[in-house]
Amino acid sequence: MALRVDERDLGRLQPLARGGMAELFDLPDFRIGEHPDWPMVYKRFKRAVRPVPVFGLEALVKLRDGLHPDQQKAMDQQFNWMLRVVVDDQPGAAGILLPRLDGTYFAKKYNSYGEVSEKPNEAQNLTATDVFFQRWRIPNPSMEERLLICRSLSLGMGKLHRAEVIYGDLSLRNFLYRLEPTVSVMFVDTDAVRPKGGRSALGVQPHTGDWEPPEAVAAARKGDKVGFAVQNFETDRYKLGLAILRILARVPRAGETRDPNHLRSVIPATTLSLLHNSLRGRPADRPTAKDWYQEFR
Amino acid sequence: MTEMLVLPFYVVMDVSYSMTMGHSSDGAHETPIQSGNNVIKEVKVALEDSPLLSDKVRFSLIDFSDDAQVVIPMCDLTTVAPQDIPTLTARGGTSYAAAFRLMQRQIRQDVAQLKADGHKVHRPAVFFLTDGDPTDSDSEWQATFADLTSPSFKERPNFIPFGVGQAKKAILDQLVYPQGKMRSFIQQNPDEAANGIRAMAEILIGSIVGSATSFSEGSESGAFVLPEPDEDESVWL
Repeated sequence: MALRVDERDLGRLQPLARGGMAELFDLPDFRIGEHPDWPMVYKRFKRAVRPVPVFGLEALVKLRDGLHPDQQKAMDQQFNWMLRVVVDDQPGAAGILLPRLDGTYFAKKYNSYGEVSEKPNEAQNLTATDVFFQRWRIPNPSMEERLLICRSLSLGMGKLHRAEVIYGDLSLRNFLYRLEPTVSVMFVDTDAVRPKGGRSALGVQPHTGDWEPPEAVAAARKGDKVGFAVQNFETDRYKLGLAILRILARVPRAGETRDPNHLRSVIPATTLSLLHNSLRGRPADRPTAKDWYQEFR
Repeated sequence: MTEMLVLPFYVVMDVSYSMTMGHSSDGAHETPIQSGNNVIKEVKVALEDSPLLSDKVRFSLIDFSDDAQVVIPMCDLTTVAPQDIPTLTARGGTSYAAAFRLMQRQIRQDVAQLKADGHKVHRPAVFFLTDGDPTDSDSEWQATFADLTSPSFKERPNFIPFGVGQAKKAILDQLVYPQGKMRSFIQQNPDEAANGIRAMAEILIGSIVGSATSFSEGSESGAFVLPEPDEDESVWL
């Protein structure tokens, strides 16, 4: 299977979105051989990010390709995984090709000027107060739906860890959720993950603010920049617990809380205990994604 | 209760009469001051879309000509109804000194108020937009800017000047603070001030997103992020 494609072979590039690190283009003329029915998008890295080593990204393409077909299918249901590395006449990778996301992960959101636009349903929406949902005119998920979102999140993280991959910079900005036709989450920004024992293709990924695990905070206080940047299975488990807390909390500034006691009267004692172990226990004692999934079954 | 971090952003907009002249080359027929009014809308819409940003970002708009005034007091911009946002209108000349004096007073008050409300406050950021030279004497605007950014002013802001129209790089480079960490943005084509202001809005919103998501509990350094403009947009010198 080809791992890379030249940008000149992609055909028309139709702008979809622009972020701080990359631009996203729809590719109406381009398909890949093994999935001819999958519409593709091109994530082109901005100059400030380049050069990005081709080798690291190709390793991630190969990683998915090397999975058992059932495991690959399960990953594709929850991860917007890169399928090709794009090159041009400059050093390193120009970007990556991804399957275009299912429309069920987008929502038509209104702003206060009465204007409507289609936006990815970022999990950060789940930290919003009722005022936001009323303005957006989209459903505010019930507690039951939020628990199902957490279950799907745990399932996805479990799949990743079983494949020996560390997500790293997990936050409510890099996975999407949907309520229909089934409640599910979709992980995006998967080009920043790293296989166990390897490095992220995009270099050392900082923790998003408000998502630093305690060991990173302690390292920073000692001036240990290397220690601050460490991301491993234990930090993933901390962030998984933190994401679950923030999805369920439904309090003002839920996106910043680290206090499981918000949920004392709302969730079962076993769930609260898992949250405490995630956020306040020793790194080795943090519940795994599988522990969480079983809790939400 | 844990203190919640907030990051104050100020947009300080020149509303001298020259801001009503000219239009963009794309046929939008928008005056610079109209583009300035749209900046506020774009920031508000970006904050409305992201509860994580709106939790952290506090915003204020100041305008200046011969004098300076607070147009939008420091607030969570998502809580302000569109019809309650005042429209910028042109008046008089271009007194940088008036703007700097008001900013110093206002920043001191705003930071004190945010702290009194239980917030931990990061260093403010000022996006300063002008389309011409100051009408003050050099010694006056330089002295007031020195006061605003003096180490003795604890709340001294990060200061990012944007020049459109006839604004001169030689002057605006003196308004960068801290020197070496921030930069000025001077428009290449002085006939397209409205375009320049729209490009400023992109950098402002990029800065809001980058700064609010890089707040780091473990970091001792400031969290302010100033994105580089896109490489495909040769708007700035």
